[in-house]
Amino acid sequence: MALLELRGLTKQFGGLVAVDHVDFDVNEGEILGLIGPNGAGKTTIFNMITGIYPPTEGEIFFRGERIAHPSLTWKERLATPLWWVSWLPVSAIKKRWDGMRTLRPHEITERGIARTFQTIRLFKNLTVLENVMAGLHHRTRAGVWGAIARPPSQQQEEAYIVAEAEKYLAFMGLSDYRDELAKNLPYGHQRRLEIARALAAEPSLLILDEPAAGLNEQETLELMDTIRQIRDSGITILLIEHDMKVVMGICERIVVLDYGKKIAEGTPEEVQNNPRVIEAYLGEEEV
Amino acid sequence: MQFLQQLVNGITIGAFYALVALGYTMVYGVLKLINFAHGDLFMWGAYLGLTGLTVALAALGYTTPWAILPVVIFVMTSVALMGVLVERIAYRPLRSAGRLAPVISALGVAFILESLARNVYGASWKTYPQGLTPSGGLVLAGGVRVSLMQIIVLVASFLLMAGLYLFVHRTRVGTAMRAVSLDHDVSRLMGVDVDRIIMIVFLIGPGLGGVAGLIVALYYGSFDFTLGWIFGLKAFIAAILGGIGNIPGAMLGGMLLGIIETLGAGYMSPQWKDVIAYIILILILIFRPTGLLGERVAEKL
Amino acid sequence: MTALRERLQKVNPLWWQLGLLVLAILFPLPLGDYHRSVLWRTGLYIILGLSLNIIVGYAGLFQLGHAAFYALGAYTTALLNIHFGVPILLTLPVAILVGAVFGYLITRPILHLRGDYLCIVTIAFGEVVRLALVNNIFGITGGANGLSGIERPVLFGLVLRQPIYHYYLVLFFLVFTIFAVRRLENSRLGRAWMYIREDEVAAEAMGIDTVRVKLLAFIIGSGWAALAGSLYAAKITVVSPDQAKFLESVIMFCIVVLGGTGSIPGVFVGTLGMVTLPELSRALKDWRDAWLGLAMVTMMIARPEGLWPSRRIRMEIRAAKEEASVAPAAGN
Repeated sequence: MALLELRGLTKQFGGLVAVDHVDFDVNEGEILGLIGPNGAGKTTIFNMITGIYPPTEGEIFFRGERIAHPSLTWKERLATPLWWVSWLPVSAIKKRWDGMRTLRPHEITERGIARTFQTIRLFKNLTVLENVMAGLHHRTRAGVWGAIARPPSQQQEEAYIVAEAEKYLAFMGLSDYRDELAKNLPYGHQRRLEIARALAAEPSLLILDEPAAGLNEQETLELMDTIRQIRDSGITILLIEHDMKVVMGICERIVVLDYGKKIAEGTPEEVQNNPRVIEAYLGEEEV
Repeated sequence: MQFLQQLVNGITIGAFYALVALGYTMVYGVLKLINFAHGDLFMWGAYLGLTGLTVALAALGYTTPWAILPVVIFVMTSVALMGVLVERIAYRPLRSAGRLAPVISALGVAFILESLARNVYGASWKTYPQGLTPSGGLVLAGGVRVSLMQIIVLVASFLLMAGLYLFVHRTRVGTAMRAVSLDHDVSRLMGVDVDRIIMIVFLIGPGLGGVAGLIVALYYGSFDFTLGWIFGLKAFIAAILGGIGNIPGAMLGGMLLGIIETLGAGYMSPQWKDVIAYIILILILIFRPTGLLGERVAEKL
Repeated sequence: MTALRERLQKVNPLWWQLGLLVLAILFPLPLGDYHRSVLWRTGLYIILGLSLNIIVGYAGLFQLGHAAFYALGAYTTALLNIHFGVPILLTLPVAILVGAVFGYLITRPILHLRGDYLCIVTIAFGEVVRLALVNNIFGITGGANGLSGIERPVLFGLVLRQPIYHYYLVLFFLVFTIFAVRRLENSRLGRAWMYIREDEVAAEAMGIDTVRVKLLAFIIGSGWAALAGSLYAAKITVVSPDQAKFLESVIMFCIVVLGGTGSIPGVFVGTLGMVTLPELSRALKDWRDAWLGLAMVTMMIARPEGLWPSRRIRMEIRAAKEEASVAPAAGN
């Protein structure tokens, strides 16, 4: 069983079919690249995996569990007996209903998928450390009572959050910027901070949306190194990237999309020599 | 029979709501701003109408319905000017400050206008001069009574609304208005003077609202300074119900709200009339925030 | 001057806080009952402002119907005391619970709305609550006149009758509120609110259950407003639907926004301007609505971050403004 399985995944926005019956698997421990010309539907796929919107058709499985499928319409909900009782605080009902409803983004993160964004979405006015601490939210538990009474367990947890966040900052080489505001970091560091924040969520699958965009030569090389290190620490990686040097350099397998359809899948060499891929890319350049 | 009678009354009130709702919807269309001050501008129409009529009748020395005509013009222009002034002072400086600051500012203007009215005219109920409104009426089949005043109100409202609709859809300025409501920058690139269009919107919306205030005061005969808030909120609900930003929607929403409210008051209990309106608003916003005629906006990330 | 400031900054903040507390305890002693009542009212509205601040300031959600919960708390105390003879101080926890439960029920369905639409729905809910009280719902709220004949609270055999006692009662809860609110702000939950305020999509993607966290803000804020309502009922011994008036909600909202969203000293400043001053000045009382309105308009134009903003929110507002002026000033 693959770690992540996409089955017949389709997304329509009004009349536009952004993703059209895409199937592919991400295997445990690999670095898989998702490439394709602009508007091929790559980011849309990422958004469906991370639960930002549901697919129009098709399903996604993570460790065999279905994490995305078309959401029920109001009619279907009304016709589903389970929906009527889904608000009851009974765990058996909750569990069955969880299998039917669409999961929300935070629930997908809890299951072990974390992501970065194509346009950097850091918490700009918060410090670098606070940004990374966000990733630890779902791994910790303190609530209202803990916040106000501050029992020892809460204090330990706070210390744990800071220590963990610092660990990931150190890993991404950002320790010196700990108390800077995120928006004051240079661009390349902001990209790294986004990865640190995602890592702090302890994912087993890390999804990177154009991590090398806007980086210079040197930073790109460092990034490739970092991505390999992350993979070696046991995290599977799925990434979108336009920089072919990065893609060909670190990906073990590549999936190519064009106009929402999968047109090729294979090793970098296979994909590079695939006539349909060449056509898709050259076709784009002619325009 | 009672049902038909309620329907007639509901349509009349609905016409008022629709007239006021137009002001909300036009401003929302071009600025994406809930102009809370609109209800109070409407109320100022009623107060200025009172002043105008008092002066006109005193000058004439006798009571005649014709005194209303110059007062309509006086109310329309002065409330329109107030509208433009409000936009200049309270909204224009906030055009680039996000969506919430203007809303708070609008609420602030509403409070100022209301307080001003209360302190200038007093907190007591105001009564319009007698003998200005025609008293006759028709009795339709089955004993449904339609007063002449109701007919005048309906005809006047429909004429105003139809005129506005044609203005927005058939004239150059109207086209520019629709362009501005879609995108300020693109309109500007296309050579539309956005500030001027917004000014025109703030002339027309409050102008219509002011006249509506005058008509409402004539219809009911008396009012006080809470008129603006209650009526304004209702009209806003009407605009949301029809689909805010949409002119036919405002008319439809106004009529529907007027009818639902009157029927609710008639068959359930008049005390809960306002609650019905608020619950409609809540349900619409929860289940179909685009209103009945609004287009579904594609979800963008 | 700067040397003095530096030396003052070196003083342990605990001393400042202790000093302020002593001042707050001693301040009303030379005053008459009228001014003691004004102080009581000020304290009460600071509690209300702080409770709303959790919703508006920390979670960044717009609530213009907060007075409804204030009224619910007052009615809970009144009903329990009048019908069941429950001592006033024992009704406080029940009032908090009632406020919290209503806060949950009312906000759960509207949580997905944003910005101005959320404003409108909360106004509508506030009005529905007020009208329900006016219309004597279930025949228990006493209609437009409200309920009267609430007993005086008794503490260790001492009947709290004079304004000064009520001032101290409010002060006690105020100190606790500040303590709790500051701890909430600097906690896992407080950070989650901050993340949502900054970027909701990113917060969700990081594993924050935004619905739950926002609901918590509403539940805590509503419950605490209900507590303030009970404290009101305890002193005035009469409750009426006027407590749920839209004007009250706007006053609370102004306290938070004009003082400086998210800032505790801001709530103090806001309350002074919106409640204490109009209370002390006759002229301002007649023109209070206009004063409120004028303050709202001028503050939005001249100083949107409030009079005494929290450092962080000031940054956020300035950043948003810069972005808006760099990116084209789009109307949509």
